[in-house]
Amino acid sequence: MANLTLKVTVIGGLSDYGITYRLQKNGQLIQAKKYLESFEKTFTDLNGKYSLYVYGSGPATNEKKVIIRLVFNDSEIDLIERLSSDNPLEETTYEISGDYYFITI
Amino acid sequence: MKKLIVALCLLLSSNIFCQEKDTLNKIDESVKNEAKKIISNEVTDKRSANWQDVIANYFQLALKDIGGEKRKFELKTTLFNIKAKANKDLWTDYNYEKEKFSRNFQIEAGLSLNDNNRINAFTYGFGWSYNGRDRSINILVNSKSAAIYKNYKDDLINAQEAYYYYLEKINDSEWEEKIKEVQAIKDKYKSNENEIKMIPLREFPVDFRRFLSEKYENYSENFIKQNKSDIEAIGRKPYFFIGVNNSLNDKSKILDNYKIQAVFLKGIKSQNIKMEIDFRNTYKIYDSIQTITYKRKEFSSQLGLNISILKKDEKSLIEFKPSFEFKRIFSSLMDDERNNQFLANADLRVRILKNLWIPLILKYDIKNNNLFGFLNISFNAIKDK
Repeated sequence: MANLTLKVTVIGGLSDYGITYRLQKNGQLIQAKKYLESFEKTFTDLNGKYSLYVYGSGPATNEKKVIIRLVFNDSEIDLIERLSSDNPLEETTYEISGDYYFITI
Repeated sequence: MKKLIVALCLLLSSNIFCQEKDTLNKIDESVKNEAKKIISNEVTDKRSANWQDVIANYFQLALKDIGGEKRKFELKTTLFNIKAKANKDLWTDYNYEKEKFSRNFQIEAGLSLNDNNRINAFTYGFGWSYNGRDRSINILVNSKSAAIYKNYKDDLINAQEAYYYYLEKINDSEWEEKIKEVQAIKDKYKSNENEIKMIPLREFPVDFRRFLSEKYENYSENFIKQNKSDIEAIGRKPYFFIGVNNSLNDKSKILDNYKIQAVFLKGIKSQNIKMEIDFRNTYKIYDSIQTITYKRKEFSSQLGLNISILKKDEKSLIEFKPSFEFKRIFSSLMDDERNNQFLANADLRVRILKNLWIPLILKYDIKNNNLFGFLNISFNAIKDK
């Protein structure tokens, strides 16, 4: 069973619409949560094919920046890089989104 | 006094004050360059001029009394901006939220030049505000528009997932390109402005559209209306400021001349016109015209209504503020001047560039039938991390 940590850092004020993650497995929603500020979330016991969507907004300021980073705690997960957003992803736009596809090996 | 000026210049990291010493031309050049730099950057420009005058969320640089006898340069910033220069981690949201006092503690410094373009006065001041309108803190996360945004994103992600597995199921030879195409459309609509642009249905490939719900087409229109309304509600929240500033010259001592000011602003909900109540009270002591030996002490109370009379795309272009003012002079009355004065004022502000306003202020002495006029130019600079 594999583990994966999602780290989201919000810079330049508070996220206007919050930051939400949605973890899907084989097209089905497994977990979803909205955070009002920077957060770190570890997904454990992963087994199979997953999609992870991160979306929301940065602060309504000129200094807005959101950093989305996935940390793989072991080598048992393969991030499908050709389909996924950058890791780490630095978003300086107001609306932010990161789409990640991965599979446990 | 010179040491104090230098110290505050360093504190504010202002190139303008420190580099330019003698000539007005040099200062003008510096200000122009700064203005070009500022205007070239994106700034939030939906605030009214009335609001910007009071709040120094950004470094504010102003030229006052252009063409008059006293040429004056002012710089305003917050304690937070100074602290954040030393510690950039303060910009991270959980630290930023804790810096409530420093974000709302305003510091200002200014120089006045005489006819020979020599510094003849230095002003500095401090102030604190309660800011219900600060969009960096007052967020939309629990607003009605947030609920529409959630439904829109859920709909879009569900469609993405269904599309992804559909392409896989039918062994589509171009499945990877098709997924990337949808992602590219999503990226294209991410805006650097402080707004969310929902993707119109027509932008998606035909075979993707059928995975979106029937409600999808309505999200954008509903969201734009609700988002505008939610932001306007924040813009009408109360704002209170209290501050003191002091003016020094070669012949004066600390606290010889000072001003205490309290400002209260509160927006009024209206269908088309942006309006706000503006209530200001000021007590000041300064050199009388005849001699600096006698100080002029005066209190004024002003109640007005700031109206955005012309706007385009939510940007206020021309603002008008009629107000009534009561002024009480406690000492150093001029000839034929009365202790108590009632004035009818009219401020007209015209936006000539993204963040550059020209205000024309008219004051009419109701009892003595006297009319006075003043012209200022001011602009706001973006925050410097």
